[in-house]
Amino acid sequence: MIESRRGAIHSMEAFLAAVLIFTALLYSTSMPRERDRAEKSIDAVGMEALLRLDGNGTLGRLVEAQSWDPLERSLRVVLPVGVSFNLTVFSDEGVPVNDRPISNGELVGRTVASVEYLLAVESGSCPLYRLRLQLGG
Amino acid sequence: MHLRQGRGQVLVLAALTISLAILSTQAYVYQRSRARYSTDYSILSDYVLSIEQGSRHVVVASLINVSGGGGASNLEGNLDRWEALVVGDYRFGRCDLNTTLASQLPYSDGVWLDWGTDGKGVSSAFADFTLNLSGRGVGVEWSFDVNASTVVLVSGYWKPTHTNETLVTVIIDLLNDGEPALASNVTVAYWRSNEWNDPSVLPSYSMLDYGNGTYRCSFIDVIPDTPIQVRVQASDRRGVFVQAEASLPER
Repeated sequence: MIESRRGAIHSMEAFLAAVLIFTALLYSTSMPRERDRAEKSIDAVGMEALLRLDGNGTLGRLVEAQSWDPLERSLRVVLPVGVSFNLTVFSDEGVPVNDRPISNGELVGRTVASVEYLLAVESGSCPLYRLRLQLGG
Repeated sequence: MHLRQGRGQVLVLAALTISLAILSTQAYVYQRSRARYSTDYSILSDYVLSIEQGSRHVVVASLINVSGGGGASNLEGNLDRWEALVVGDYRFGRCDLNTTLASQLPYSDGVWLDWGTDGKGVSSAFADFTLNLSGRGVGVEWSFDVNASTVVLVSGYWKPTHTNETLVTVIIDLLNDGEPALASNVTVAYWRSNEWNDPSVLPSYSMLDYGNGTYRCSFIDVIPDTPIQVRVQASDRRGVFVQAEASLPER
């Protein structure tokens, strides 16, 4: 009687060990192997945002028209929530162009990064600009 | 006896240790895969893409200027300015952008303006680019070309009305880089009495926009000169100007 109970306990222990190893294997295979897009560095996020705005010519039009409010709103839309930004527009000679801050407040966050973007505008005089986007997040 | 009882617990403890080893190994591999290489590469490729995009903007801007009456040398001048701006950017080390203007016919100095009388007008600019990035662990050589074009196609017909006037119908198709495109401005003129006349002042004038780059203009006037000569001047949404003339047949 005692022998059969002991056997049952051993079986339970072996089963428990098998379950442990199986669960570990299951978790390890479901673990992602590559960094996903949500974990991109903040400067990559900023670069992508500017690239997206420039793709359809919006960025160039707004900068050329000095429409700082719409530009600020566009950046708020394309940048993720929780990312603070401050954009400065320089002419190709390095002179600041924007006469008011283009930002959503002070730069806050654990990481602060700066992205520079060279901009050519589809306009008859072909104005060139250098944009500096500072990001915090 | 105690040894035999403890054997099962040892088995469970061993399984637990093996499980922890598997999970920690996998976590370590995951952590290593999160190295900055992928994001650095992403920024680098975005940077190269931004230079290509900017180069396209410069070519289009130059085409806007040249098609609007500016000198053909504007393309070269604008590209020189763009090259200088790019060369001054040392973010990824030394950065060189070299441009070559298309010189093979029909292009001259990278520009081709053919505002013909056969119903087709072309405004186009073409340049080859080579971008070299070197230093700071980066080595990139990226070649691309930019061909910006705006084409207008003019067709149509005319037919006499019962009041001995002429009903003229003009079909206009606008293309950007081979794709249908919307116009920001389209004007039609017709030849009568040795001069170009504006049909938009006629009460019968109508311009229909199909919304897909096709426009249909029609008007009625007394036009003794046949076949009817029409001229279409159009600007696309980018601001590139193009013009074409056509002789319309009788239907």
